[in-house]
Amino acid sequence: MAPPDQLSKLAIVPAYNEGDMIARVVREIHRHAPDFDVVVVDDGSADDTARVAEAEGAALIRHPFNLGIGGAVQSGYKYALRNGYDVAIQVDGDGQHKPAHIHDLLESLQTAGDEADMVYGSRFRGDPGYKVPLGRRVGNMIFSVVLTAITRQRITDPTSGFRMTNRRGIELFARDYPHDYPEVEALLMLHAHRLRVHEVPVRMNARGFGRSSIDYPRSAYYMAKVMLALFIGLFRRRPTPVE
Amino acid sequence: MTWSELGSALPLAAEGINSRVQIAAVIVTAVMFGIVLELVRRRRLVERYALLWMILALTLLALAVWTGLLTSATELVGIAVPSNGLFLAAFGVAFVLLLHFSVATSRLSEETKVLAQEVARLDAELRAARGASINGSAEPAAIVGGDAEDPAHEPPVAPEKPTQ
Repeated sequence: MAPPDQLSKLAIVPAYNEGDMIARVVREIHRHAPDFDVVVVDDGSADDTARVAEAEGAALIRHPFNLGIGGAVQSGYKYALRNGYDVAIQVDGDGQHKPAHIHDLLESLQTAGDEADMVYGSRFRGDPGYKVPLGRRVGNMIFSVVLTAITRQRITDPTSGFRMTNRRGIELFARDYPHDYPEVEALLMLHAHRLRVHEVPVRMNARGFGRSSIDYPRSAYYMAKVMLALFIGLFRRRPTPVE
Repeated sequence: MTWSELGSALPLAAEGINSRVQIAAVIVTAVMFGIVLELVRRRRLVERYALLWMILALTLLALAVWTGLLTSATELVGIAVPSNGLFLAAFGVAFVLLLHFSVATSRLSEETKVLAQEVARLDAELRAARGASINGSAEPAAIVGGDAEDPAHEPPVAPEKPTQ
């Protein structure tokens, strides 16, 4: 890969009703990673997310209605592909991810002789930075064990959405990305396509307003859905739909 | 569903015609599972509905294998003939499913309408912009049907719950 200053880099910020947080997120990215362009994907928000994002100088993709996190992130990757970006990073619009880590991820993506196609920030390689609720820890641990077994590589935080990809990852995700709760399945897709994954220890913030998208009744569905998807993913020779 | 589970469940069944029904139920369930999983693998069915159908198949299997289950369940509700209880339950499930799909279809048609309107709006803006550049005017022409404010920031559809 070319030296970092010659690469065009994009931060994809999916946001759904984050009018209160989005300005801070965009500003923090500009401050810590001024070499990254920012595109906010407003996933059909009913508040002023789109207006605030544009006022902060971010490019804006506005969905006419809510598609869910998978659709929002994929819109970002399609934008990255179309505009020829070499590197794209996902930064959640709720302020959970710290833009201060962006360059840690970039460094790991480009480690000479040990390049990765996707690098993600793991909360469980060190201090997570906040108290991760027990239920999430347990769920995360189960996915971690399953994915580590499948990929034969230590995956400590498969639900982390703080991830950076190179061109190959952008192309893959622009073409195909899971609908809901996409993070775990996306790791399996990368593995199936022989893309290399690294993880980097990061700290995260507790979610902006504690309004996690996953409450108790949904977590059972979450587990079942992702497990089924992982299981079926093993039987897909080419996990990409025929267009 | 594993074969070892079936093996341990089947001997519970009474001999004769009853166990034949049970074998049939096991086969039907297995076929249903196979079809559902294959549909997901081919991306014709999303996991959400696959899980639903798998739960239904498992319920069917449970009722067929544990004959006492249906009897005691219908007794509990006060239905004299167990098979009537089964028909009632099946009808109820089918009804709820149909209602759910009606709701889902309504949402889809609403979303399709919004998409068509968005495309039409973009088309109008594009024409207006083209017209403006042909006329050599610096200002893009007024947006057809748009209000003077900033149409891009109209809140989209009514605030709805996330689709998942």
